[in-house]
Amino acid sequence: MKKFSINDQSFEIDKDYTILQFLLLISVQVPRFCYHEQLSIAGNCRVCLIEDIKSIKPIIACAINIADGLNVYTQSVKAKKAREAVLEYLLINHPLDCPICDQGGECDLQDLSLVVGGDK
Amino acid sequence: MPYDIYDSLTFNIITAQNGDCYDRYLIRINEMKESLKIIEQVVNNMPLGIVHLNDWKLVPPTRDFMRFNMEALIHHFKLYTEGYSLPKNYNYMSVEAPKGEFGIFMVSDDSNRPYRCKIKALGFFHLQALNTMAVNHLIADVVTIIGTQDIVFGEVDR
Repeated sequence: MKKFSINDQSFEIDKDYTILQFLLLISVQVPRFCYHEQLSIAGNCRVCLIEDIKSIKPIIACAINIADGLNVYTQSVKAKKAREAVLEYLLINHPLDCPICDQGGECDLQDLSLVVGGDK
Repeated sequence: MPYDIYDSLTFNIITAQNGDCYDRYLIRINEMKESLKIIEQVVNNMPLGIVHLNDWKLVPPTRDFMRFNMEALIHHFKLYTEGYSLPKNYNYMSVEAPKGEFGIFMVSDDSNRPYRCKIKALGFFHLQALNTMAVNHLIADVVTIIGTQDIVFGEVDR
């Protein structure tokens, strides 16, 4: 039995879950690019960063298993800033093609930029 | 319910005693003069600087930014193609209009289009008084009464 808390809410489970899988179960929104249920975990987009109280750096929710005593925050300032910075890196060399891009309008990168991206 | 900077402006509220068409005409003319006073005060006290919010989530960035900034391009693109998605809620807001309180009631349903939009237009309510106002008058007077009520019939339809 593992006891842990997410956003100050306590949970107990027996099974092995990654943090992101559990967040999906309890309908907590965390952005993601490389995670897919049907694929093996890559953990390279780093946009699902969340804050772990015990670690200095934010952790990726998709590749870290839930352990006993875990204490994470998905919407803290640290987590939000980390995600914003990751997204900025993704966009820094992106061509300015939205108006002529076929994917424009149904693009995950655009959607995430609106939700977690910088506003200035 | 004073809003914006109305409480810091000085102007008179125009009224009249007789309640006839000539009174309504005078009120309209004097209200225009008061409006000019308000405009003069507002223009003289307008603060310098940019006029809209510097938050790309709410206000699309200017075109200058879009030439070199990917975030700006994305926000501009999304705000102009999709607009805002509002969570389920409802709200009523009103603003002043020449004839009274102009209000809009809107219901949002988690999408970028309103689920319901009800516009409270003033002309409709003013027209209700026509029956009482035209008692013991000639048919020809009705034209003047409607004219001084300042009704827009297009908005009565709403």
